[in-house]
Amino acid sequence: MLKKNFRRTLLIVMLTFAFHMLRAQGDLQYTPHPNDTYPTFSLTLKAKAPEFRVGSLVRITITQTNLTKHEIDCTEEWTGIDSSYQYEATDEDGKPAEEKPRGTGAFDVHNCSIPPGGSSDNSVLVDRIFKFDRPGKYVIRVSRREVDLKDEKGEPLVVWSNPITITITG
Amino acid sequence: MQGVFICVNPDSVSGTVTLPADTPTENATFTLQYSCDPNVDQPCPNNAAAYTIWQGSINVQIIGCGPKITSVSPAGWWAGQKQDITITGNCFLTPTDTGGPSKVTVSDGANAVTLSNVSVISSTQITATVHVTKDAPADPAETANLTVTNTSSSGAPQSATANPAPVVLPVPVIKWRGKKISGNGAKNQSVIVGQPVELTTLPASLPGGFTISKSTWDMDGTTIKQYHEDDDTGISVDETDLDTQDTTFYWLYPDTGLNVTYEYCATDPSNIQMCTSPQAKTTFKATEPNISLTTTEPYDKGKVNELAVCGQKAKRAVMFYGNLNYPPGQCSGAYVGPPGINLAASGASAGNYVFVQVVQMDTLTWHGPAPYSCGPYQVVLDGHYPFRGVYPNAPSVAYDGPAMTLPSKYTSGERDFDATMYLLWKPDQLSGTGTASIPVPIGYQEWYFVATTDQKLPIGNGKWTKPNTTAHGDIGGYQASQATDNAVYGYPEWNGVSDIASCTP
Repeated sequence: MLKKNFRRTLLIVMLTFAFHMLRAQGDLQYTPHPNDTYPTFSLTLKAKAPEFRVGSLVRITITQTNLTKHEIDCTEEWTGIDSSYQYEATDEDGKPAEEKPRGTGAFDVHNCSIPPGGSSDNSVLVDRIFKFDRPGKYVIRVSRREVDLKDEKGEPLVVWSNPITITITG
Repeated sequence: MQGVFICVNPDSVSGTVTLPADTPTENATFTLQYSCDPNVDQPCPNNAAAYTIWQGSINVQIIGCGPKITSVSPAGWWAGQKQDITITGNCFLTPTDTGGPSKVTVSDGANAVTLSNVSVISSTQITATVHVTKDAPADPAETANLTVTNTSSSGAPQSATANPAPVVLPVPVIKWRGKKISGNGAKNQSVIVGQPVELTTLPASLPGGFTISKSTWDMDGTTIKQYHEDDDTGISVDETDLDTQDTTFYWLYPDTGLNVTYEYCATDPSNIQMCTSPQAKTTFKATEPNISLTTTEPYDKGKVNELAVCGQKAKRAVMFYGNLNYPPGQCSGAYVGPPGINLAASGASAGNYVFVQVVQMDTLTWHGPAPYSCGPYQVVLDGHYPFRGVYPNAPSVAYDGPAMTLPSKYTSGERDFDATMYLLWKPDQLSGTGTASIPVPIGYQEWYFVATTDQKLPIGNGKWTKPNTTAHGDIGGYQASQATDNAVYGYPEWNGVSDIASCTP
């Protein structure tokens, strides 16, 4: 009798495990952490090069680092750039750089998670966002919303990266 | 030979005989003859006509020149071969010379060199045949002592040794991971595709002013020196170096009986190049796990969902291939739900899978009073290398669920999406080497999604019909990559990164 119960329990455990494995590969999932302390991550920005010629591809790398003791989200909404970030660029006079028409007519969802203390890199062509058609220096920074941490109005808190300066040459 | 003698006194004459420089050591008889020539000597004694007055002979020993060697040609002797050589010099004794012929001997530290068919052609030339066994050392390579000796019945033998010494050019050796893998007793080697094969050779250098002036490798199978990837410019490969003493490469596809050979040319100090090197040969087996890619559809149709927008009350309608949305209460971050398609790699118990998706064709069309369309986007990298749509808790499974925004000013929306998911595999680093492995092409699967949705009346209410999905899932079956697929041996190719950010309906 005990042997039979043990076999049945083992079968149930195995079936449950198999179900979760299948579910893990058939469904995207997310585990919320609403009680975290802000910020749950940091953002570090680097440019592929300090200088770029007018009209060339301007690629930056965003490194998101997990500051918590659990996995955090780094999901990308790919639209030709990663639209899960917000981008800001100002010229030498401190004025916002002119933006290109940019839409989210289509996108791809790439769920992503970072282990505790780990980092995830994403590289983006910011020349798809801003018109770097005038030579000069530009300061760029990016931000990303916290998923679970919100302000008094119920809007997600935002984390900003360090600013970087690139030079567009003629 | 003759000499001029003068009468010193009635009892003696003196004079000088000059012998040729190559006169060997030998015993000789000098005959002195005193003659009277009435036309020269006035008068001859007793007024006689010219006649020999006196004649005598003495025996002398001539101490002649020893053998001298000015060159040995060729100056380098290949191991595992017989070659005719010519020794040039002077004072060689021919067989007809007294004490001749000169003797020729050769010796080397490894007893690899023997001499035969020695023939003293003249006082200035000797020919012979040299045979060097395959065992002549390569680490380091050696020189040989070649000596010509003239013996004498009346004196000590005289010898000369070739300087510079002839160089023994050894059979090359191929080494891998510190061990010799060519030559007698060498075993076949095994490596995993994508792991570095770092080969070095012996001899590393040559003595006697010789240089290794040319190296030639030949290897079976598809190999590259290195591969490079860049999101913007694609994948490129460096071809394997076939003309260097040492070479490093990677096999991209599995096979057995992969022969690798190496030979070299040596150049002597006179800039004469010798290129009849024996060959070093080894054989490899390149292995690979039996990897495949399986396609399933967790949600095999289009679905319109309303997504929250941060900072706005209104939601946005989006048609997915799959049933994706933010978790309740969220407006950013991870999506939940089943995507349209999964592509699962299996078969490897080590290493890492690398997914790369290339959009073959993507067109988006919105119909209405002011219709708008984007694309076709063709042969562009879908996002990044590698593809980021991989389950966080199952990195061997990639997924996708392309999404199309449905602004309420349009009457219908249609997406026509066709992509190829490439699977690469990167083996673990080879133990004992600091050189990284590279991913190798494994196979690919083309898939598509075509669906249309209409906005329910009244236009502008943002409510859309259940999409009509006219095409979905895999196209054809999984294909194994081949070296002949394209110019980069089966790696995926693309022209820049997809830019659907330019799509602004």
